[in-house]
Amino acid sequence: MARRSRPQTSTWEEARGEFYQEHFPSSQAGLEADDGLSGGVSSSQAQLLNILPSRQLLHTVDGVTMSRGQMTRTLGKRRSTLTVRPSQLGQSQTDVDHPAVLPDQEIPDEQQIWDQIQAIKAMPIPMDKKRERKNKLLNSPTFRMQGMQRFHLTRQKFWSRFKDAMVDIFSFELWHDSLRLIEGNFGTGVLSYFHYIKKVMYMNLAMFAAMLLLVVLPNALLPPSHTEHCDDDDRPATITACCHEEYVANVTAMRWRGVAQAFMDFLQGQGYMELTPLFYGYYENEILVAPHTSIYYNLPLAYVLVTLVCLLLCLVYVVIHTAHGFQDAILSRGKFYQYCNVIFSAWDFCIDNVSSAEYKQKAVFNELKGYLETDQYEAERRNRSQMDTVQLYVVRTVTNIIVTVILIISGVIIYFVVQYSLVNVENADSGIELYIYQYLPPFTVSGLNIVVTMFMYHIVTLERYTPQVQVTLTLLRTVFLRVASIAVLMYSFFVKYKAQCEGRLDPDACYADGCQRNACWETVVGQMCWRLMLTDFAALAGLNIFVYFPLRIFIDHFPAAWLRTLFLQEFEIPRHVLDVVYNQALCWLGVFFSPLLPGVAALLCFLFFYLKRFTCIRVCTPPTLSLHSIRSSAFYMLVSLFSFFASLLIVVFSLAEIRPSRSCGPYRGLDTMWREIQKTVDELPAWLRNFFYYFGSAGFAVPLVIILLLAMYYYSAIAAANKHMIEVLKEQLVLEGHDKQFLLGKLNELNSLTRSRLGERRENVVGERMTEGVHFAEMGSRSSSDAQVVTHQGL
Amino acid sequence: MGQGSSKQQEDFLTEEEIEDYQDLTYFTRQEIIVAHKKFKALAPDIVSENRNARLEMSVMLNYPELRANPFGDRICKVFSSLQDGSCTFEDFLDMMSVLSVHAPKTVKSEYAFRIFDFDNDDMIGREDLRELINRLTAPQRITEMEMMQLIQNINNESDLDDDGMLSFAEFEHIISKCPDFTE
Repeated sequence: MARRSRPQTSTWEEARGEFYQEHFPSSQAGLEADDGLSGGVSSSQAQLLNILPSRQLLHTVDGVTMSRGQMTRTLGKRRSTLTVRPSQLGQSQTDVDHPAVLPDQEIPDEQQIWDQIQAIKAMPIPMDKKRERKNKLLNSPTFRMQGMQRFHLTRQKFWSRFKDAMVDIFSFELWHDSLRLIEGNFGTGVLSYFHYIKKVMYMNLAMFAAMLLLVVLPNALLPPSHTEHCDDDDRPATITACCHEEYVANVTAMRWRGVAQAFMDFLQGQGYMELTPLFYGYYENEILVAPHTSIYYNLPLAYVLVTLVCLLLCLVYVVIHTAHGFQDAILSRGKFYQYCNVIFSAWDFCIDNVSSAEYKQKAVFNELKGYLETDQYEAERRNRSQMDTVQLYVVRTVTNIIVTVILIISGVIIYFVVQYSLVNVENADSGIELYIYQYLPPFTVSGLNIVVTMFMYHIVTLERYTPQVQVTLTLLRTVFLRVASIAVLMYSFFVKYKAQCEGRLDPDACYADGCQRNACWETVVGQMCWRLMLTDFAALAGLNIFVYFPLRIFIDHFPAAWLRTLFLQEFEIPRHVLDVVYNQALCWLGVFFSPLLPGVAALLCFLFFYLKRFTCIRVCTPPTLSLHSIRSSAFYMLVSLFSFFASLLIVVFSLAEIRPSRSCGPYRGLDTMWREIQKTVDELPAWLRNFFYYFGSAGFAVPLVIILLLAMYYYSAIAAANKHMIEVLKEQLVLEGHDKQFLLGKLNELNSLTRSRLGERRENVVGERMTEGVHFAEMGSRSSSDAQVVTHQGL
Repeated sequence: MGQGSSKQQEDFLTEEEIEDYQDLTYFTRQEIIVAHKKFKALAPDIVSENRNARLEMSVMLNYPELRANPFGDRICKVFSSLQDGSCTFEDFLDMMSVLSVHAPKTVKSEYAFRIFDFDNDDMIGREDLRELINRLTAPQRITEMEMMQLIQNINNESDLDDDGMLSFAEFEHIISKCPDFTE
């Protein structure tokens, strides 16, 4: 039915136009196709409109105005109280007199009264009317409830009071004032960025708490059950113990070499820092036992399991937040409702000073212009000449090639710098030289990140995409750059380590020649992550405080247009999101090699908040381009997800490929870290062991994959069906609208004609009307059969 | 503060009033007290005489969030019990409660519809949309052609029964699809 009526709509519209032009010459001549009745509603039509049930919902019932939504819901329950009959055409009924409770209805019990009182909040009426209603409800006769129902009601009441009281007491929100200030000045887009920082910080804190309680504290408090000692006569058998003792001795020797050195050690994570719980090397490889009791705690197993579970929970958290945001994104469907979204929801009612309001207005203006330009661009794109298209594609290919080349070059630079620094770190003595060589890779990475990011922001304008695509593309490229730089860094280290140190390991040596510094390679990796995090934060802070801030002050004092265009920055959210994501990626990467790293990450997030707040308020101007896909924090979570998997890949690669070091850590002496878990599983009872083995076998994986595929297909089928349903319902709605217009017109017409031709013979009128009515009823009956009924009834 | 104090001053809320407001709005106790303080700050001398004094619209518009808002006068008119823009404390409380984060989307969309309906004819027509867009982009001017294009686009997206105006049902339908509608 929906399909068939489409082509008839045009004739329908024409007919309707004809109809109106013939009988309502006073209303605007030449109806535009989609103008309908707008602006040309004659008074009798207005009266007709007023008696429609949907309009009646606005009017007062029971002397109290209820919201339209509520009326439709209560209509089902209280049909007897609402009797709207358009018995007299042209008369609008404003007051329908009905008692609140009809005698034949049951007296409401306390539960219903309480529900209704709670529902008063949602009514759009002034406060005194609300109070009237509440008092009326409180004083109306109620039916006392008995037993269980009464208990439920009292419990409900108590719980809601309790919740209110609790909210008042525990209304501590971290950074409440800062967030309000930002919201007032910049709107909700920037606010969501700061909320994201807060969420990431809480996630890191949770991880930190878990690691602290489950790994660090047992290790610190409980002594190992038995310690192996190095037996010089039987070295190959007790090699791990010997290596460990040697390692500890070496590190302890380097512990305290003066204050300046201590500070540098702190920055590098060496010296006294190396055997702290911060790094992998501190942890025991034995089962810990509480003295004089039989409580035991398998530390190596705990280490692996807690880390895995933490990572898994982080993944779940990120995925849930991404999914929530995506629901919104899918609902709003991007282009589908974009104009309405901009115009109706654009204004943030929390902006509280005039200059920010001006910025916001400019932003809305730009957004609207952006959408109009996009539409023009689309239209233009379809009309683009062959030559233009070819040229554009050539430009795009060239820029993509350039970007890839630059990414590769950055990767190569990082690789060589790492090799260089590793070689020189071995040969350098302590002091400034060592410090420089060790910090060379992180600084290169940070520097490259900053420079290449700026380059990419400018190059994307050449490609002439829409703003939305531009921002997304730049974001993806920069994320890729950052993650790739970490990956290359790690990879080059692993390659060098494997080539030089692992291959040549004798069974009775602790480390190969020239590899003394890498005796405990996991700690080295942990130290690298530590240095990367610190460097990145320091570079960011330094750049903002010492470069951008003075620039801003300079611009404020010398208002020259060219200065402003060149140096004035907007608070572009994507760029700042990347900083947080990068930090988080390092945290995830390093959590295995440095269990307390989430704590460090949480601290850095805390400092990030203040740094970004400073940048936002003092250095940058509010963003004039605010795309709502970027505004949702789900997008940021998606980027986090990508970096999460990248970090996970790196960690898994390192664990699978490289043997645990012999000198330190919970896995010293084992072949792989996974051996530990396997050992534990082997010690479990047989049925449990078989249970776990089953998970790893193909017999489990294949049915799982098949079930997942079926589930996906099922959900996608349901989604497609729902979409189709929405289309069908929408078309029905449109058709009902047409019907309404037609019927109103007919009613009005008949109304005026019957009034104006009272004196004439009814039969002639009836005859004329009937033919015309039948003519139009035929056209109308294709959409609904009501028209025929009315035309016949109306006569 | 906020208790029925022994002072004779009329400008502190009594305990029962606060509880009453808690039932009738979406605010918690603290928020009601803060709202009263802000209301008092608008016109301290008038409010200290009568807690529930009625302030003229020009005074209400001194409130920072209303002043910076291009729809400030519409908000005052919609929430005012006399429909002329002057607000008592209860109207103000109503206003803040609906605009806060606690209020559900349905309530907000109801009031938003009234705010955007500039000519009070219960439909958002073309003139309403025109006024809306002009206010949103105030200092910058939109050309006539762009304005027509925008109105056309909005009607295409939202006007389901093709009468050229948005009724409340259509408006609510659109708002339910807009993720940013948090005000």
